Amino acid sequence: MQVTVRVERSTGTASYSVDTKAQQTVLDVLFYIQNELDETLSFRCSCRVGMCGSCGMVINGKEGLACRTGLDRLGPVVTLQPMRHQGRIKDLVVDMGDFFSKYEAVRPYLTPRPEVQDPIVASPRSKLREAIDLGLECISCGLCLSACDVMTAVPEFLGPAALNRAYNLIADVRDDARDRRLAVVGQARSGVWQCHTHMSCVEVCPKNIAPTRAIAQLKQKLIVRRFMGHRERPIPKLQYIVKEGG
Amino acid sequence: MATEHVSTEPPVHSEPLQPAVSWAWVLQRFTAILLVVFLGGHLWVEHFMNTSVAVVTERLRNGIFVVLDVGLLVTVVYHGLNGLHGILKETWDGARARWVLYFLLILGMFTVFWGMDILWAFLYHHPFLVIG
Amino acid sequence: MFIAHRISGLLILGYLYLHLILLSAVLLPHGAKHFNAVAGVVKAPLFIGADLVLFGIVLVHGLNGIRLIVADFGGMIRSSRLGIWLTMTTAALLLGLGVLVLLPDIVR
Ligand code: FES
Repeated sequence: MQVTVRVERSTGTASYSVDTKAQQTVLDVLFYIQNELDETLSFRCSCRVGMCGSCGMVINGKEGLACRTGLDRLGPVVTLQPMRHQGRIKDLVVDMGDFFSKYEAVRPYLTPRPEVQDPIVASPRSKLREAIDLGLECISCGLCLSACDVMTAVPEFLGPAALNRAYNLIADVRDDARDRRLAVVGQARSGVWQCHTHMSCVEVCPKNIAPTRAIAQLKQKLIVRRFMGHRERPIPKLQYIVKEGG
Repeated sequence: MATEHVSTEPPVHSEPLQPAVSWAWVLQRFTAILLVVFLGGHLWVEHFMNTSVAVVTERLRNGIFVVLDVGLLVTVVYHGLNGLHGILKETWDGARARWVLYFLLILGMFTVFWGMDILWAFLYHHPFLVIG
Repeated sequence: MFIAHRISGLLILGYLYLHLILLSAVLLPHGAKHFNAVAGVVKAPLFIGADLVLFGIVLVHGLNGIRLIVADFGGMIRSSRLGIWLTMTTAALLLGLGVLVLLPDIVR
């Protein structure tokens, strides 16, 4: 199939005509262009199987991973743009600095509670696991931030990925930094209250995460906490957690 | 790889932060639910019942309608102006946003008085504030 | 849909002030006497047509608003497309109902 690939490069839009084969992905075509047609084309990738999150871009107007987007669904003209709301380095390569400093702002790492000594085994079907499973899959590709409409007006917004990560850790019974994380996500200008529940992030996430749900849960947590005050979380007991469906 | 940190300074080490609830956000949802009831009732009453002045006056004499109408007035003014504020503060942050907020607050209070004045005119057949 | 929600919201806010101006223009200078006369004008077909447009805008804003509140409680987050489709179909149905109810007033 003959496909016209229009790439929005730093130097302007470039158009390439490519003869594609069945089952090819956008990333395959980009490699073909770079190898055969124009070696100056820049794009980012690493794993080529949708697990590293490097190859995010805007494909025919919608965010997606180049390595997981098949050409069959895209039609004879494919338009490729760099991700939105992020500074561009060159061609399809964007500066992820903003994305990661937002990630950093919510302390994206577990701070263990000192009183929790035993290793905690959460069975795949326990309630506890359900709470954290929500967003563990995130590969920090930045597609959600690119798709987020809030970013257009409020560039300080922490964004779906960081807030999803924050919710994950806040819901985690082993975590000790909950209060500080809640304080960060509750900020007026950058926090959860800016979310429009437009669910664009849910639509583009290549890992089927629903950051909007995490954000809604965070809002609820902040409100409930304001009314009920801080409640001590019981130290998780091993038996309780291992129990199926418990 | 992060060439420069473009974002807001990450509040990682600024400790005095407190978990904050946006009451404007909560109230916006709360008034939204109230409005579904109030506005539905308002449309029903005004369109499926007779709306001559005598009838409206008679209805308002029945205190429950005063409560309903004033309730509708307050919720609709809050919901509308807070929505406008939400839109405006996205583009104007900082000092200008505060002035917008003050302006909208005064506008809101004025609007509520205005609406009550109209209700008053229905009740007593002359307005309370503006003398005709 | 987000843009539609904002625009419809602003339109309704604009209408609120129009509504107040109309009511007070009628009521305030003359007391309530002139109200009934004007109520007759408001029953003109053109006004009822405008009323229906307004009703449609209110339906879009209201039903979409309900969908957003449902999402705040965690509902219909993965199926927002379906949600938009459902709410807008409901809006169209209710608007159709409104047209049916007011039709005798338009084509008299
Ligand atoms: S190259 Fe790793 S996700 Fe596409």
